[in-house]
Amino acid sequence: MTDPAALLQIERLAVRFGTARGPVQAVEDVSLEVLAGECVAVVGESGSGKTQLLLACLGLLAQNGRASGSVRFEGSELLGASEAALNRVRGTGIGLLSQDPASSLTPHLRIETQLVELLLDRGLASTAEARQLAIAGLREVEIAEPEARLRQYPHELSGGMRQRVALAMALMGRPRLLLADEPTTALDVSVQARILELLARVRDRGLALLIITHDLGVVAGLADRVAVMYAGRIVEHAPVEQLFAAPSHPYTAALLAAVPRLHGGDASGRLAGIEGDPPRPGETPPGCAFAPRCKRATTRCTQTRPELRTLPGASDAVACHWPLSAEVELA
Amino acid sequence: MAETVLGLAAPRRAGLWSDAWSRLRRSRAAWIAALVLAALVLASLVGPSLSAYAVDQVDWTQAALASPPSLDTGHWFGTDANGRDLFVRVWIGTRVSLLVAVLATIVSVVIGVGWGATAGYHGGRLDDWMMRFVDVLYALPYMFFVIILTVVFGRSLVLIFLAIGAVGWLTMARIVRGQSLALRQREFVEAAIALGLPAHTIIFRHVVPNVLGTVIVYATLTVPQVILFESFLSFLGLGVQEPLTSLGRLVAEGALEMETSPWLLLIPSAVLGTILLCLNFLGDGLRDALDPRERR
Amino acid sequence: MTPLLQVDCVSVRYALRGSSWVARKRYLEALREVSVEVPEGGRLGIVGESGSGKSTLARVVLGFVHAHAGRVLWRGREIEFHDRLGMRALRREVQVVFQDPFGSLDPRMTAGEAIAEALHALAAGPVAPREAGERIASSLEEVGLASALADRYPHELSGGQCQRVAIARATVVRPRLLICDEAVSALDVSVQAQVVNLLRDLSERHRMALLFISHNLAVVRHLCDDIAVLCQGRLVERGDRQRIFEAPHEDYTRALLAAVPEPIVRKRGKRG
Repeated sequence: MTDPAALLQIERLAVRFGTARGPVQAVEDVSLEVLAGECVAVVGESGSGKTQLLLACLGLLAQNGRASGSVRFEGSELLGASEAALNRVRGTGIGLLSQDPASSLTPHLRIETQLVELLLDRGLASTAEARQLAIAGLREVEIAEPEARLRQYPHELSGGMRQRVALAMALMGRPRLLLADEPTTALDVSVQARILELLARVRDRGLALLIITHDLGVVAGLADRVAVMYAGRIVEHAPVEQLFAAPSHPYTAALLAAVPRLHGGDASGRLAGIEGDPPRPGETPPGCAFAPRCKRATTRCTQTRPELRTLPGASDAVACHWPLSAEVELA
Repeated sequence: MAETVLGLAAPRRAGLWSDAWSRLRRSRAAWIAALVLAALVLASLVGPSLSAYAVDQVDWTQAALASPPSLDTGHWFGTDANGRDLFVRVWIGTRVSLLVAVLATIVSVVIGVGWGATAGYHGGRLDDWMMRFVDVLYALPYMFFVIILTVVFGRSLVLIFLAIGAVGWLTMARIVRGQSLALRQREFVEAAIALGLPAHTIIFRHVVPNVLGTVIVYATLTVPQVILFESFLSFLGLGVQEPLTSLGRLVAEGALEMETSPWLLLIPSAVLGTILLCLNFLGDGLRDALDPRERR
Repeated sequence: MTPLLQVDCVSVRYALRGSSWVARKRYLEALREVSVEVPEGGRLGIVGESGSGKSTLARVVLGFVHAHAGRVLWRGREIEFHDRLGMRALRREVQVVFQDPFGSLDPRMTAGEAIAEALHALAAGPVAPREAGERIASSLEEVGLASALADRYPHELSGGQCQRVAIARATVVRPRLLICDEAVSALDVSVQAQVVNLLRDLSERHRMALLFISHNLAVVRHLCDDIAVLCQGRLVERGDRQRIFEAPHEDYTRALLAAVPEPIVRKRGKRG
């Protein structure tokens, strides 16, 4: 698994929370790497642990959270690193774009102040240079009249524009890796499309991306590889074309089928939902966590947990006793 | 409560209050605080009758003037400079202080919550007028207001707590109004409007229960304020009158003789401190207990 | 036949903050002469971006927002939003489900209590405790929840379960029209599909009309017969589903269609 070219390397990461009702395992045994210039997406529904995974990477877990395993960025360990060491990486090594543009910008500060903050704080630019860089940064995310925008406050901008400013802010420190946590969830579809385009352009310029999302549609035009998470574990990990064309895990297949489409299918027919709800963190059943909702589940599924393994002759890894693509081979 | 309001016997676990009760039982600090408070209340009720002395009785024996605590003389907490039994006076003082504090707090909670929730829920012009009224009362000097009340209506216990409560609700009303204003925007309140429920029902069923946590914490902070305020009034000669006494008054008197008879300060201070500490723990516990979302 | 709901040339404007009594008042036009109608048992989708006025339209029908011009008609008769008695009767027929599954339930009420409250508030007469219990259980069952969940508080439920409780609360008295304001937008994809199916089933089974507001055309396609597209407070296009999806007249509609993220891999070369 160790690839020298890996920018971010997550190995056997586990995140545990101490709660009043005992420890809750949010992430378990997750290994993932992001190569330079690559875009990896982590797809999962609420409670799958995808956000905790991202927070653990940046050392931003809540007070009662503990991460174990290893997260290395450009070879240096982030888990357990000092706050000072983390701060050297945050911003200039790893940028963060979060879900809610309304809360990721400080309401009482002008856009300019927030954009240049990092540069001035690290002594990366003089005040005049920082201003020019901020203007260039806004232009990069296609904000018209950047000079005028700099003087505005977040509430004077629309939601989509705020998210673009947040993106510009995440890119100000010229990070090598951008972590994006549900970057489009809080936005309208048309604004979503805009942000996705910008992210694609950022990726094409060679910045590595790790995107966390629940929406497979978001992944489509952007990611090279996709890791699907369910109940704190990766259940399938595959190149994006393969994942969409021939998903191996029943959960991935069901998730793909549940996405409402514009074309094809029977518009007057029912959507293919997945029966039941995802398990709540801490209430994960023994065996395969998806078994209670899986049509293919057998007693083996409810008793022993399938390990993530690479299928013979395939490029993807899947944690399922009865993977779908294996069946195709047999048939 | 919800059960009787809705008047139905659907299969369900007990309502908000009994849930809160069981959660309170589980919080050790709050439960111990409640037991200690109960013990203090009990002591304040029965304590005075356990002693051979009365609250205003002076022990004329020479040794009994400002005598330290002793089991032999029967003055378990000692006596003050006038030869009065401190044990009896401390419990009488506790009784008076708690009574004033609790009643004044109830007055301020009832008026403050009702006023604040109504203003916050309705918003607009009604809110403007109601809150300007509060502002006007704020602008009156608090102390001056209470002093005028006591001077005009004479000095009685009932009046003291009414007077303190009547001005104490202002801050409560502001706090509750702010929270109600925020709750007003929440979708569950809009859903209740869409059900066609009348405003007062929505206020008391959906708004007030959701501000209770804040109200209770603030109320437990009000109690010590009232106790201290009462002692200040007493100091001015406007509060509780001799031969009755209160904790605040005992502490104030004790402080004067701190060097010669330290027990006169230490014992009432210890009781007052215990009460305040217990109230804070209980307040914290109640806030958590009333919030169905268990804290992580 | 008269439609169930008719929104006739409705305009809404909000006074902008910061316009003082000295300066002339400035307004934000949230809706401009919008007309839509929903037939008995029909399903109308209202689509637009945020700021297009689609939620305002729902709020006008609910009487939360006052229209400064135009009328709203219910079975051909104008709704008098100030008439308390009439509104009470109307509430029984028009109910609403909001976007935020956790925000639309009172955190201090169990699911059962929330539904019971709706039942008692909306039922024509007093409901006997026994009958209430049965109706709560059956309405929970109808939205696919075990009746044991009646004892749970919202924080003990998942987002999808909360939204089902909100739907059960809104439909326990069998309204004729259910307004869904972005009711599935905050849900996970797999749960979103379940809830869309549920709304469809309820609508078909009880001939309940839907006014379904969403920014996602793909979701609307699976639920609604007719679609109205709003842009900056104006109705830009209206038509049946097939026509809107296959031959949209307006550029704006085409742009909305193009924006829907679908899980189809496009070749890299086309981008960037």
